[in-house]
Amino acid sequence: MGYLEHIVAIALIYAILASSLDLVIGHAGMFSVAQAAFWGIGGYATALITIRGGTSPAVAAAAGVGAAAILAVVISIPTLRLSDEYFLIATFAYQVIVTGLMTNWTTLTRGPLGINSIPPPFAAMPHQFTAVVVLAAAATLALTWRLVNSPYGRVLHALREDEILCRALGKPVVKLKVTVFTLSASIAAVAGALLAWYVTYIDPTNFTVTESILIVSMVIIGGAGTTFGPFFGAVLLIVLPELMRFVGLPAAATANLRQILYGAAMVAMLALRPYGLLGRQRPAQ
Amino acid sequence: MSALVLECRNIHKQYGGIAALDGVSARFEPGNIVAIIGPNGAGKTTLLNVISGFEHCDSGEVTYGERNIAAMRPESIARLGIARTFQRSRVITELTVMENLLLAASSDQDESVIAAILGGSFRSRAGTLRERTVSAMELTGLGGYDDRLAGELSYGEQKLLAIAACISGGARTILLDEPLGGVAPHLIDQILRILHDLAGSGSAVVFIEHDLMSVKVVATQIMAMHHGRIITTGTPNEVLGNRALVEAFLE
Repeated sequence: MGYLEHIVAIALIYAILASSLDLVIGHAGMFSVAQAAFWGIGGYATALITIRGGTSPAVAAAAGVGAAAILAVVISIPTLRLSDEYFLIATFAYQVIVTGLMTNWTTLTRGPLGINSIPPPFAAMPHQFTAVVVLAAAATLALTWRLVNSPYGRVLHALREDEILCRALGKPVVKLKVTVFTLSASIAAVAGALLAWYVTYIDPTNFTVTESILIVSMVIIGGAGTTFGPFFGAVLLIVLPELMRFVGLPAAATANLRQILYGAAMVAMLALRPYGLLGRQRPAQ
Repeated sequence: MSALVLECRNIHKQYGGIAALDGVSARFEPGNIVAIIGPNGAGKTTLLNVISGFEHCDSGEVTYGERNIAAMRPESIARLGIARTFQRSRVITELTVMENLLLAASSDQDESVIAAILGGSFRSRAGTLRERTVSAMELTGLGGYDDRLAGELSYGEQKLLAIAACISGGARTILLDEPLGGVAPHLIDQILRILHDLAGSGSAVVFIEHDLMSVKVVATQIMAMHHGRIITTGTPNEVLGNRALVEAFLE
């Protein structure tokens, strides 16, 4: 597969993750740093069920989405009653537990060795795979756009702004939070299956808290709650570092420079466009 | 659907060593407008919080019709048709007036993920919902404000919108925490007229108010509270005619 196609596939997988996380962070106002955990559950479930269970990759991916959804429901019922910063810490803890299991439950996951030779759903035809990722990204964008512009989106926005008022209006606040969190986790699990199929190898370092924070950065830099913004932010944060390959710096320097650039981009965004590149302008006051 | 009788029996609520509500009993009937008056810290807002489920009483009973609602969550109580507003007006500032009212009027089915994806149930109900919001706007004098962002409204208009949301949500028992506080004079008359119309159409209205002139104009019954107790209750003439009481507790 060509280099360009590789960048497109990776950027779009992250775009799916950022769009799904934006439902939770941008639209429902719940700050989660566990998106990579759900991504990993999707990836690991797809890989393990295909290899050990001998099922078809598509069935395994569906099971992975189901597993992520069930876990999202199970963890969200206690944690979603927590407010803002406590919820953030709970998702952080959850993320660390999941990566810990991936690393240490070696009988199941082979730990840091990772899982290789994951069979993709169709014979090795690289362009087909890129097409699948493009379709999945388009479907994610269409789904989130449809959701946030519906009465469901309206009640999420209300929840983001004033939970007490939502309660007074009779809105099932906890149920709404569980559904949006579960939906977001399920979409992330789809991205996990796509990664497993595409790279055919996964290990715990793919799904660490650093990845979760990268996905959060994509949402914030693109513009939380803007639907297209996080998608754009993901593409930007994947493509820009790739461009640095052509500057001619040694590899060791670019790796560090990438981190510095992420940091600088975040600071610049918060100072200049706190609502993201595609977000609204700073309020007048 | 007419309002049911809302009744509180011997409600106690303690904060640390302070009795916020100390044996409060009250009855709120359809068609009545009850004004709760009393100095700051008398327990007026605490009483509304207990009725609407935002706080739970330590002992006592709150019934709506036959049902004991004392231990229910606020969202469940709201679904029974008991709506409330807050002292500091709460509206969704980033939604328009129309969207705020549609939000209040929509059911869980209207707002489900399935409905959003399929575009099914809420479309067929869109007409009904719109009618309800339009009639709430007309009743409250917010007609023509449809597409204004709630955050751009004046403080008084936001309070008006909060009342309109109670109406478009279909509530028949409406609890208002200082609906007139901080509101421009021309809107005060408008809000008083709305309270009058609501009671006229069979709703039960309860409101907390400091301005005794306004209370006198619209209330059918006054409940005076002090130190977590109801010290007197009666018609406006009975309660406000008692000079000694008014001076002692309320001025």
